Amino acid sequence: MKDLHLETLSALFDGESVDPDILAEALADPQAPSALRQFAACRSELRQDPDRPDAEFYDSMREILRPSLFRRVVSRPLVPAALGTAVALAAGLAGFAVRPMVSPPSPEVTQGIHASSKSRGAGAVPAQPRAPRTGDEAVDSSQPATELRPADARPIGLAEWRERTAQ
Amino acid sequence: MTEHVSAAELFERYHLAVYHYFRRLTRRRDVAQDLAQEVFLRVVRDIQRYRSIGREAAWVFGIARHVLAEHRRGRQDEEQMVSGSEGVTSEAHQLLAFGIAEALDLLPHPDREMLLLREVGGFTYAEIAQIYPTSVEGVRCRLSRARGRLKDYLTRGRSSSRKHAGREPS
Repeated sequence: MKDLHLETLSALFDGESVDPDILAEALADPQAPSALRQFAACRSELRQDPDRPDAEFYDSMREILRPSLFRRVVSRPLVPAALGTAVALAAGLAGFAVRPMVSPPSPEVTQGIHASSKSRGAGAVPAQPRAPRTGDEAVDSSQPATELRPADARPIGLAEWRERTAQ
Repeated sequence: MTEHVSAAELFERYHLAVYHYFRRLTRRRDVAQDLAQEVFLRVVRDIQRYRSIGREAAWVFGIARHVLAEHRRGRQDEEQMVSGSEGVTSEAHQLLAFGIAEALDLLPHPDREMLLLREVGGFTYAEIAQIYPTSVEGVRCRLSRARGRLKDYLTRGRSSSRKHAGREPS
Protein backbone atom coordinates (compact mmCIF):
# COMPACT_ATOMS: atom_id res chain seq x y z
CA MET A 1 0.00 0.00 0.00
CA LYS A 2 1.30 3.43 -0.93
CA ASP A 3 2.30 5.73 1.90
CA LEU A 4 0.06 8.46 0.49
CA HIS A 5 -2.91 6.11 0.53
CA LEU A 6 -2.19 5.02 4.08
CA GLU A 7 -1.83 8.62 5.17
CA THR A 8 -5.12 9.56 3.53
CA LEU A 9 -6.98 6.68 5.18
CA SER A 10 -5.40 7.52 8.51
CA ALA A 11 -6.47 11.17 8.23
CA LEU A 12 -9.96 10.15 7.13
CA PHE A 13 -10.20 7.82 10.11
CA ASP A 14 -9.28 10.73 12.39
CA GLY A 15 -11.89 13.04 10.87
CA GLU A 16 -9.32 15.32 9.27
CA SER A 17 -9.71 16.81 5.82
CA VAL A 18 -8.47 14.70 2.89
CA ASP A 19 -8.13 15.17 -0.84
CA PRO A 20 -11.20 13.50 -2.45
CA ASP A 21 -9.28 12.21 -5.48
CA ILE A 22 -6.54 10.66 -3.37
CA LEU A 23 -9.17 9.24 -1.06
CA ALA A 24 -10.86 7.54 -4.02
CA GLU A 25 -7.53 6.01 -5.00
CA ALA A 26 -6.81 4.95 -1.42
CA LEU A 27 -10.20 3.30 -1.03
CA ALA A 28 -9.65 1.43 -4.30
CA ASP A 29 -6.49 -0.09 -2.84
CA PRO A 30 -7.07 -3.80 -2.05
CA GLN A 31 -5.43 -3.33 1.37
CA ALA A 32 -7.66 -0.43 2.36
CA PRO A 33 -10.36 -2.47 4.16
CA SER A 34 -7.84 -4.34 6.29
CA ALA A 35 -6.00 -1.10 7.10
CA LEU A 36 -9.20 0.58 8.27
CA ARG A 37 -10.16 -2.50 10.27
CA GLN A 38 -6.74 -2.41 11.92
CA PHE A 39 -7.09 1.27 12.79
CA ALA A 40 -10.48 0.63 14.36
CA ALA A 41 -9.23 -2.36 16.37
CA CYS A 42 -6.32 -0.36 17.70
CA ARG A 43 -8.53 2.56 18.72
CA SER A 44 -11.07 0.32 20.33
CA GLU A 45 -8.46 -1.44 22.43
CA LEU A 46 -6.69 1.76 23.47
CA ARG A 47 -9.85 3.63 24.37
CA GLN A 48 -11.71 0.84 26.11
CA ASP A 49 -9.05 0.39 28.73
CA PRO A 50 -10.64 -0.79 31.98
CA ASP A 51 -7.54 -0.13 34.04
CA ARG A 52 -7.97 2.57 36.69
CA PRO A 53 -5.49 4.07 39.16
CA ASP A 54 -5.44 2.70 42.73
CA ALA A 55 -7.44 4.13 45.61
CA GLU A 56 -4.20 5.51 47.08
CA PHE A 57 -3.74 7.60 43.96
CA TYR A 58 -7.15 9.19 44.41
CA ASP A 59 -6.52 9.74 48.14
CA SER A 60 -3.28 11.58 47.51
CA MET A 61 -4.83 13.55 44.66
CA ARG A 62 -7.68 14.59 46.94
CA GLU A 63 -5.11 16.07 49.32
CA ILE A 64 -3.31 17.83 46.49
CA LEU A 65 -6.49 19.25 44.99
CA ARG A 66 -8.08 20.34 48.26
CA PRO A 67 -6.52 23.84 48.28
CA SER A 68 -7.50 24.20 44.65
CA LEU A 69 -11.07 23.28 45.44
CA PHE A 70 -11.05 25.81 48.29
CA ARG A 71 -9.66 28.46 45.99
CA ARG A 72 -12.33 27.68 43.39
CA VAL A 73 -15.14 28.00 45.92
CA VAL A 74 -13.74 31.12 47.52
CA SER A 75 -12.33 32.97 44.59
CA ARG A 76 -15.24 33.20 42.22
CA PRO A 77 -18.48 34.63 43.50
CA LEU A 78 -17.55 35.45 47.08
CA VAL A 79 -14.47 37.56 46.63
CA PRO A 80 -16.16 40.77 45.40
CA ALA A 81 -18.82 40.49 48.08
CA ALA A 82 -16.24 39.74 50.79
CA LEU A 83 -14.06 42.63 49.68
CA GLY A 84 -17.02 44.99 49.64
CA THR A 85 -18.05 43.92 53.12
CA ALA A 86 -14.51 44.25 54.42
CA VAL A 87 -14.12 47.74 52.98
CA ALA A 88 -17.47 48.83 54.38
CA LEU A 89 -16.62 47.42 57.80
CA ALA A 90 -13.19 49.02 57.79
CA ALA A 91 -14.63 52.36 56.75
CA GLY A 92 -17.29 52.13 59.42
CA LEU A 93 -14.83 51.20 62.13
CA ALA A 94 -12.41 53.90 61.07
CA GLY A 95 -15.14 56.51 61.07
CA PHE A 96 -16.34 55.42 64.47
CA ALA A 97 -12.85 55.55 65.93
CA VAL A 98 -11.89 58.92 64.44
CA ARG A 99 -15.17 60.74 64.96
CA PRO A 100 -14.71 61.84 68.62
CA MET A 101 -11.29 63.28 67.83
CA VAL A 102 -12.18 65.34 64.78
CA SER A 103 -15.71 66.45 65.57
CA PRO A 104 -15.84 70.26 65.73
CA PRO A 105 -16.78 72.02 68.93
CA SER A 106 -20.46 72.80 69.22
CA PRO A 107 -21.03 76.38 68.06
CA GLU A 108 -22.41 78.98 70.40
CA VAL A 109 -25.47 80.22 68.65
CA THR A 110 -26.15 83.90 69.12
CA GLN A 111 -29.33 85.11 67.64
CA GLY A 112 -29.11 88.70 66.58
CA ILE A 113 -28.20 91.18 63.96
CA HIS A 114 -25.56 93.83 63.61
CA ALA A 115 -26.41 97.20 65.03
CA SER A 116 -24.36 99.01 62.47
CA SER A 117 -25.51 99.16 58.87
CA LYS A 118 -22.84 101.51 57.60
CA SER A 119 -21.51 99.06 55.19
CA ARG A 120 -24.83 98.82 53.40
CA GLY A 121 -24.95 102.50 52.49
CA ALA A 122 -27.26 105.31 53.47
CA GLY A 123 -30.93 104.55 53.76
CA ALA A 124 -30.36 100.87 53.62
CA VAL A 125 -32.96 98.71 55.23
CA PRO A 126 -31.49 96.63 57.99
CA ALA A 127 -31.41 92.97 57.29
CA GLN A 128 -34.42 91.00 58.34
CA PRO A 129 -33.80 88.17 60.73
CA ARG A 130 -33.75 84.92 58.90
CA ALA A 131 -36.28 82.32 59.60
CA PRO A 132 -34.83 79.10 60.89
CA ARG A 133 -33.49 77.12 57.93
CA THR A 134 -35.40 74.05 57.03
CA GLY A 135 -33.80 70.88 55.81
CA ASP A 136 -34.92 71.24 52.23
CA GLU A 137 -33.91 74.87 51.89
CA ALA A 138 -31.26 75.34 49.25
CA VAL A 139 -27.98 76.83 50.35
CA ASP A 140 -26.71 79.70 48.27
CA SER A 141 -23.14 78.66 47.67
CA SER A 142 -22.32 81.89 45.85
CA GLN A 143 -22.40 83.84 49.11
CA PRO A 144 -19.43 83.73 51.45
CA ALA A 145 -19.85 81.38 54.34
CA THR A 146 -19.16 84.07 56.93
CA GLU A 147 -20.06 87.74 56.79
CA LEU A 148 -17.27 90.14 57.64
CA ARG A 149 -18.29 92.18 60.61
CA PRO A 150 -17.11 95.84 60.97
CA ALA A 151 -14.78 96.47 63.92
CA ASP A 152 -17.33 98.65 65.78
CA ALA A 153 -20.22 96.37 65.23
CA ARG A 154 -22.03 95.21 68.29
CA PRO A 155 -24.58 92.44 68.29
CA ILE A 156 -28.01 93.55 69.43
CA GLY A 157 -30.92 91.47 70.56
CA LEU A 158 -34.16 90.93 68.73
CA ALA A 159 -36.10 93.14 71.12
CA GLU A 160 -33.66 96.04 70.58
CA TRP A 161 -33.90 95.62 66.84
CA ARG A 162 -37.72 95.77 66.99
CA GLU A 163 -37.51 98.93 69.01
CA ARG A 164 -35.21 100.52 66.47
CA THR A 165 -37.27 99.53 63.47
CA ALA A 166 -40.49 100.72 65.13
CA GLN A 167 -39.06 104.26 65.47
CA MET B 1 -17.89 34.90 29.05
CA THR B 2 -15.41 32.07 29.38
CA GLU B 3 -14.44 31.14 32.85
CA HIS B 4 -11.14 29.75 34.02
CA VAL B 5 -11.24 26.13 34.98
CA SER B 6 -9.87 24.90 38.27
CA ALA B 7 -7.25 22.22 38.80
CA ALA B 8 -9.92 19.98 40.27
CA GLU B 9 -12.01 20.27 37.11
CA LEU B 10 -8.99 19.50 34.93
CA PHE B 11 -8.25 16.46 37.08
CA GLU B 12 -11.81 15.20 36.69
CA ARG B 13 -11.68 15.60 32.93
CA TYR B 14 -8.21 14.35 32.08
CA HIS B 15 -6.75 12.19 34.81
CA LEU B 16 -7.74 8.90 33.20
CA ALA B 17 -6.43 9.92 29.80
CA VAL B 18 -3.17 11.09 31.37
CA TYR B 19 -2.89 7.91 33.39
CA HIS B 20 -3.52 5.67 30.37
CA TYR B 21 -1.09 7.72 28.31
CA PHE B 22 1.65 7.11 30.87
CA ARG B 23 0.78 3.47 31.43
CA ARG B 24 0.89 2.74 27.72
CA LEU B 25 4.23 4.49 27.46
CA THR B 26 5.90 3.08 30.56
CA ARG B 27 4.04 -0.26 30.81
CA ARG B 28 4.02 0.20 34.59
CA ARG B 29 0.99 1.14 36.67
CA ASP B 30 2.98 2.49 39.62
CA VAL B 31 5.12 4.71 37.41
CA ALA B 32 2.06 5.87 35.49
CA GLN B 33 0.33 6.86 38.73
CA ASP B 34 3.41 8.72 40.00
CA LEU B 35 3.76 10.59 36.74
CA ALA B 36 0.05 11.42 36.58
CA GLN B 37 0.26 12.74 40.13
CA GLU B 38 3.23 14.89 39.19
CA VAL B 39 1.29 16.30 36.24
CA PHE B 40 -1.61 17.41 38.41
CA LEU B 41 0.73 18.78 41.08
CA ARG B 42 2.08 21.08 38.39
CA VAL B 43 -1.43 21.87 37.23
CA VAL B 44 -2.35 22.95 40.78
CA ARG B 45 0.85 24.98 41.03
CA ASP B 46 0.49 26.74 37.67
CA ILE B 47 -3.27 27.04 37.22
CA GLN B 48 -3.30 30.70 38.28
CA ARG B 49 -0.82 31.56 35.55
CA TYR B 50 -2.65 29.61 32.86
CA ARG B 51 -4.43 31.94 30.46
CA SER B 52 -5.12 30.05 27.20
CA ILE B 53 -8.83 29.52 27.55
CA GLY B 54 -10.15 26.53 25.63
CA ARG B 55 -6.82 24.76 25.34
CA GLU B 56 -6.80 23.07 28.69
CA ALA B 57 -6.30 19.55 27.31
CA ALA B 58 -3.32 20.63 25.24
CA TRP B 59 -1.90 22.39 28.29
CA VAL B 60 -2.33 19.34 30.54
CA PHE B 61 -0.82 16.97 28.00
CA GLY B 62 1.98 19.42 27.32
CA ILE B 63 2.85 19.14 31.02
CA ALA B 64 2.52 15.36 30.73
CA ARG B 65 5.07 15.34 27.93
CA HIS B 66 7.52 17.36 30.00
CA VAL B 67 7.03 15.09 33.00
CA LEU B 68 7.60 12.05 30.84
CA ALA B 69 10.75 13.55 29.32
CA GLU B 70 12.13 14.31 32.79
CA HIS B 71 11.28 10.83 33.93
CA ARG B 72 13.07 9.34 30.95
CA ARG B 73 16.15 11.43 31.57
CA GLY B 74 16.21 10.51 35.24
CA ARG B 75 15.50 6.83 35.02
CA GLN B 76 16.58 5.85 31.55
CA ASP B 77 18.41 2.80 32.77
CA GLU B 78 15.61 1.51 34.92
CA GLU B 79 12.70 1.78 32.54
CA GLN B 80 11.86 -0.68 29.86
CA MET B 81 11.18 1.91 27.22
CA VAL B 82 12.21 0.66 23.85
CA SER B 83 13.68 3.49 21.85
CA GLY B 84 12.95 3.50 18.16
CA SER B 85 11.35 1.08 15.81
CA GLU B 86 14.78 -0.35 15.27
CA GLY B 87 14.69 -1.59 18.84
CA VAL B 88 14.86 -5.32 18.32
CA THR B 89 12.36 -7.39 20.19
CA SER B 90 13.49 -10.71 21.57
CA GLU B 91 12.57 -14.00 19.95
CA ALA B 92 10.67 -14.99 23.07
CA HIS B 93 8.77 -11.74 22.89
CA GLN B 94 7.84 -12.39 19.27
CA LEU B 95 6.60 -15.83 20.17
CA LEU B 96 4.20 -14.43 22.70
CA ALA B 97 0.71 -13.61 21.62
CA PHE B 98 1.29 -10.28 19.99
CA GLY B 99 -0.97 -7.50 21.21
CA ILE B 100 -1.37 -3.79 20.78
CA ALA B 101 0.73 -3.07 23.87
CA GLU B 102 3.71 -4.99 22.53
CA ALA B 103 3.31 -3.48 19.08
CA LEU B 104 3.19 0.00 20.59
CA ASP B 105 6.50 -0.68 22.32
CA LEU B 106 8.12 -1.11 18.94
CA LEU B 107 7.15 2.31 17.68
CA PRO B 108 9.56 5.24 17.95
CA HIS B 109 8.79 7.49 20.92
CA PRO B 110 7.38 10.43 18.97
CA ASP B 111 5.15 8.20 16.85
CA ARG B 112 3.93 6.30 19.89
CA GLU B 113 3.24 9.46 21.86
CA MET B 114 1.34 11.05 19.02
CA LEU B 115 -0.71 7.92 18.43
CA LEU B 116 -1.62 7.83 22.12
CA LEU B 117 -2.46 11.52 22.15
CA ARG B 118 -4.79 10.86 19.27
CA GLU B 119 -6.33 7.58 20.42
CA VAL B 120 -6.28 7.99 24.21
CA GLY B 121 -6.48 11.77 24.49
CA GLY B 122 -8.78 12.20 21.49
CA PHE B 123 -6.89 15.24 20.24
CA THR B 124 -7.16 16.66 16.73
CA TYR B 125 -4.07 16.99 14.58
CA ALA B 126 -3.95 20.72 15.29
CA GLU B 127 -4.04 20.11 19.05
CA ILE B 128 -1.31 17.47 18.85
CA ALA B 129 0.76 19.89 16.82
CA GLN B 130 0.46 22.39 19.70
CA ILE B 131 1.38 19.84 22.34
CA TYR B 132 4.38 18.40 20.59
CA PRO B 133 5.10 20.99 18.99
CA THR B 134 5.22 20.35 15.26
CA SER B 135 3.18 21.08 12.13
CA VAL B 136 -0.20 19.55 11.40
CA GLU B 137 1.35 17.90 8.37
CA GLY B 138 4.02 16.44 10.62
CA VAL B 139 1.38 14.96 12.90
CA ARG B 140 -0.52 13.57 9.93
CA CYS B 141 2.59 11.95 8.56
CA ARG B 142 3.73 10.51 11.89
CA LEU B 143 0.32 9.12 12.75
CA SER B 144 0.06 7.48 9.37
CA ARG B 145 3.51 5.98 9.75
CA ALA B 146 2.76 4.79 13.28
CA ARG B 147 -0.42 3.10 12.12
CA GLY B 148 1.35 1.51 9.20
CA ARG B 149 4.05 0.10 11.45
CA LEU B 150 1.54 -1.01 14.01
CA LYS B 151 -0.36 -2.85 11.31
CA ASP B 152 2.84 -4.55 10.15
CA TYR B 153 3.90 -5.50 13.67
CA LEU B 154 0.51 -6.90 14.51
CA THR B 155 0.32 -8.86 11.27
CA ARG B 156 3.84 -10.23 11.68
CA GLY B 157 3.39 -10.87 15.38
CA ARG B 158 0.13 -12.68 14.96
CA SER B 159 1.44 -14.76 12.10
CA SER B 160 4.52 -15.71 14.11
CA SER B 161 2.26 -16.40 17.05
CA ARG B 162 0.10 -18.62 14.87
CA LYS B 163 3.18 -20.37 13.52
CA HIS B 164 4.37 -20.90 17.08
CA ALA B 165 0.99 -22.27 18.07
CA GLY B 166 1.04 -24.57 15.02
CA ARG B 167 4.36 -26.05 16.11
CA GLU B 168 3.14 -26.74 19.57
CA PRO B 169 2.22 -30.33 20.26
CA SER B 170 -1.50 -30.74 20.45
